[in-house]
Amino acid sequence: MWKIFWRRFKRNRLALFGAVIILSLAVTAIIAPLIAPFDPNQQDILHRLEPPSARHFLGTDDLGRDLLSRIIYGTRVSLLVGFVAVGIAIMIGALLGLFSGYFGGRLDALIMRLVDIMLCFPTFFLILMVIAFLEPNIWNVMVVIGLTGWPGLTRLVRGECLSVREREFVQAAKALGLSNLRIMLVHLLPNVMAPILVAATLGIGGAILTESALSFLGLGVQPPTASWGNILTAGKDYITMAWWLSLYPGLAILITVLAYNLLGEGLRDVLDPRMMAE
Amino acid sequence: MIPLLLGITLITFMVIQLSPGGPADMLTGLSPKVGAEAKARLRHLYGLDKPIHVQYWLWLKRVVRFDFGESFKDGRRVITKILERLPATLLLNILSLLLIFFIALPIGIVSAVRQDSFFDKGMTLFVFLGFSVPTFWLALLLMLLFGVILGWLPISGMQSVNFPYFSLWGKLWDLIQHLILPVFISAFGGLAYLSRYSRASMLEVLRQDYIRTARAKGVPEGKVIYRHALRNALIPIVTLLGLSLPGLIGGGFIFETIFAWPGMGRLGYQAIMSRDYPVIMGVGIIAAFLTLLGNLIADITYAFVDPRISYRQR
Repeated sequence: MWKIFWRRFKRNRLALFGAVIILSLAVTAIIAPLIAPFDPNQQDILHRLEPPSARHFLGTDDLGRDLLSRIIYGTRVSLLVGFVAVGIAIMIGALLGLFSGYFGGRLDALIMRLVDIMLCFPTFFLILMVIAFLEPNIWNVMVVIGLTGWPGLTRLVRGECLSVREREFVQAAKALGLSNLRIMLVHLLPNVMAPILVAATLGIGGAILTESALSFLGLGVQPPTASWGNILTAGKDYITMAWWLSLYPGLAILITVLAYNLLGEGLRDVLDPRMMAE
Repeated sequence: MIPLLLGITLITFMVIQLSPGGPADMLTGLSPKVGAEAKARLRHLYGLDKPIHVQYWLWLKRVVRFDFGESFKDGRRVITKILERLPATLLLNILSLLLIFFIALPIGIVSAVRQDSFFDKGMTLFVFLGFSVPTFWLALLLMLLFGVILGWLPISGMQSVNFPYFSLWGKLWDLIQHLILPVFISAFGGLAYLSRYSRASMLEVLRQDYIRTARAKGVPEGKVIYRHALRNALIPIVTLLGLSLPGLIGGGFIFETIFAWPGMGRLGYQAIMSRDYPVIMGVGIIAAFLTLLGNLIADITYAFVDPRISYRQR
């Protein structure tokens, strides 16, 4: 099965491209201190708002800090936020979806009502509210994005479970007297893994976007820690004098999120069980 | 619909209550002179010393009468503050929805009909960019390009400073100029999403047997697409349009702040920043209510689009 997967995946050039970018971003995040030309928090007031040059490839910001180094360090934030937030959302979403789809009945109705409520709530406002009340910092941002990101996934997993539940091997497992928990985790979960994986990949892109928007509004990662969103906040104030401060961090977000979206869509094509049969 | 609304109010209420640092702290936190006694008095004044479920019940009783209390900041009634901001937000959102629908749908149809053509590939690329671009960043770039470099469009607010002195047409033109960037930006995400979705929906329908039948019996291709296929493809698209409302309204909080648009989103953002509880609650409820209303309208539109769906009891 992995062979089929890999063969199909290799043919999908865009997805491969996304995967390569994501891998190189991960490497960048890990070895950031080695490749960043300057200390990201080293201020140099004499050289503030310098346009891109041979010394500062992407220019400097309002405090004379090297923009390239700050963007490189910002990779760490976006990667961390993406993975942790989606990790939380997947845990909640998959679990609730499994319960809802497997047990059905009243529990199902209750969980689905909860999903409906969450889905018609303007999520971004909810996140803004919670972050504003708690202290805005990277941990709160990750947790809150995670806690609001599960409803779509719950619905997805539930739908898959409803059909898998009726299959013979689940009936057989029941007949053998396996516990419900075991049936859910060992027999149902692997069969709904593909849509979860796709949703997770796309979700990471979404979480990175949300984090950058929050940081942009001053409610996300707090300065001096560099995040792509909060570099843009400074960029907004100097937009007429220093275009590079507004352009490059946004470009970094765009490329990163694009990579996750390409990979996610690619995975969807590759993992689609209807196509597996080919 | 009512249970949904109740659930939403409950979530909003709990979020606010569980947060540390009440409004009494906010009002007095900066002044060391204010003692614990004065704080307790303030808390009592705002009814914040009662148990949470009592506070919720008291609040809910007022909410059904659209009485959200008074703003902590300036003492004005919350519903007045929201009502004076609502038209600007509605204008922005309705125009965005129309833009999304009338641009995304044709894109989707043409992409599906000419699958894998140059146009289709270009649009797929656009869609991916649309999903991935941080819209607030795009807003900044467009402000820079059209507002600062080219100087064609105003970059913030809803009216020019000398608005009252314009003629009627001058006023309208001024408003349109101020609307272009915010409407485009707030429609952007939905545009990508809906064109992708209408393409998929259209492709699905074009594969159906009745389309083959229509073609086989010699119905002209244009009629096959617009009469037979489109009407069936529209059904899921209408749902999606309803579901895109929370995104639009949620996005409003950031776009309205960027463009200094005097709408509800900006009011909500400012309220959050100053912990103006009653205003936050009011904005949250109204936003959720608008969303539900949108879904209801989508449900009713179904009946027009799809004659099989009927809301009469059998």
